[in-house]
Amino acid sequence: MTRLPWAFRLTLLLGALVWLLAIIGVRSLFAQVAPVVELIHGQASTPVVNASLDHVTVTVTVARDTATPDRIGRAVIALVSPAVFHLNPGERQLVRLHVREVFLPGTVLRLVTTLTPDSPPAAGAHLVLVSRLASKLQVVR
Amino acid sequence: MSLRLYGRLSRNVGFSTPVRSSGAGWIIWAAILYGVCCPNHVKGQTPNLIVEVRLEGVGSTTVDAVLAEDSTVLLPAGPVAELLGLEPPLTAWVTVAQLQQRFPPILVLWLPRQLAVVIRDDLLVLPASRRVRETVMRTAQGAAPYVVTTSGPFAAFTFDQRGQELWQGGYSWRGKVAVSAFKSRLGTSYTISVVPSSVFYASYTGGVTPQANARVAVGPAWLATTWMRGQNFIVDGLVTLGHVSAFASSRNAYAITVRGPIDTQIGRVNGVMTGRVSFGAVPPNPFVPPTVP
Repeated sequence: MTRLPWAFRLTLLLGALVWLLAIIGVRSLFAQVAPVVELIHGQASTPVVNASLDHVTVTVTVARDTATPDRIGRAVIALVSPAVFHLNPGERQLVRLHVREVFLPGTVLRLVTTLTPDSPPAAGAHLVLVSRLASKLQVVR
Repeated sequence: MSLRLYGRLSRNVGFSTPVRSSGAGWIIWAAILYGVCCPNHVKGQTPNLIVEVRLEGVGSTTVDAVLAEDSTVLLPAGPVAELLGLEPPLTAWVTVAQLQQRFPPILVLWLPRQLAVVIRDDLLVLPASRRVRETVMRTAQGAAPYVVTTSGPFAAFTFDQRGQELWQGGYSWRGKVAVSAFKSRLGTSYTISVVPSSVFYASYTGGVTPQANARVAVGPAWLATTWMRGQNFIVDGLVTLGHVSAFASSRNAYAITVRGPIDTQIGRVNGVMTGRVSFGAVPPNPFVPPTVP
C-alpha cells in the first residue's frame, strides 16, 4: 500500500474543512428570509427567522438591484418596520416595508437582511460570521 | 429684578424673552403651555413602524405608527377611530394603553413580533362591532333555513315510537336553489327555495297549506313578507340608522330600539304599548317588540 503524499493529504483535509464550514454556514441561513418578496402598491411584508443557535441583531434595508456580485445597489427610500431588531434562536419577526419611491411593475429591488451574531464580550480576538442576504423584491404593481 | 425665559429650538437657534404679560411674551408662554399640556405634543414624531390594527370580526387597517424610545407604540388616532367606528379624535396619536383605558371591556393586545395590535370586543362596546353584528343579524333574520354550498341530493327518514313517519328528500344546487318534498300522515308537500345571494331569499311551499316567504336585506334595511292561504299578507320591515332601529309589522306591531350604554326599546303589539330598558352583554332584539307575558 502506497502512502499518499503529505501535500495531497493536506489538500483533502482542507477541502473537507471548507465543505464542513460551507454546510454549517448554509444551514445557518436556511429559511431565514424569503428568497422572493412581492411589492404591491409599494408595500410588502415578510418574516425573518433566526434559524441559528446564536442571538442575532438583524438589520433590514431596501436597495436597487445591480449587476455587481453582491446585487446590492443604491439605497431606496423606504420605511422598514422594524429596521433593526434582535432575535433569539428560533424567534420570528414580521418585517413590513413601505417603499416611498415609485417603480414600474417588473422592477427588481433587493431586500438586504444583515444578521450579526450578538457575541458575548470576551477577551481577545474572536471570529464573527455576519450573514448578508439580498432577497429579490419584485415590484408587482 | 426681571425674569427672562430662555429656550432652544434647534442646535443653533434659540430664543430669549422677558416674562411679562404683554406682546410676544404671551405668545411664547402660550406656545410653551400648548407644547406641555396639549395631547398633540407628539405630533412631530416621525413614523418608524408599520402596524396592522385588527378589530376581530370587523376588519383591519395598516397604519404608520411610532415606536417611542420608551417602547410605547403611538398609533395614528384618525384611522384607528375610523376602524372602531368612533368620532373623529381630537388628538393625533393614541396608545394601546389609552384604548384599553377608554374601553375597559375590550382587550387590546400589542404583538411586536407580528407588528399587530389586536382588539377583541366580545361585549360589543365599540360602534363598529355593533354595526357588524346588526348587519349579520339582518342578514340572518328570515334567511334560508339551510346552509349548503355543495350540489347533490339529500334524504331523511324520521320516525317515533308512536309509529309515525316523516319522509324528506330533495336536491340542492350549490345551496342557491333547492327542491324538497315531505311526506307524513298530514299529507305531502314540496318546497322550492331560491337564495341567489345573502341579500335575497324566497321560498314557496305547496301541498296541504301553501305558503310563500321572501326576505330582502340590503344595508341598513330589512324586509320580509309571508303569504299563507286563508290568512292576511304579512309584511315586516326594519331600518337601522346609527344607534336607532325601527321595526314595523302589518301584524299591528312596531318597535323602536335605541342602542347605547343603556339600551331602550319601546314597542306596541296588538294595541298594548310596552317599554324596556336594559344594559349589559345581551342587547335587545330589534326584530321583536318588547312584551310582558
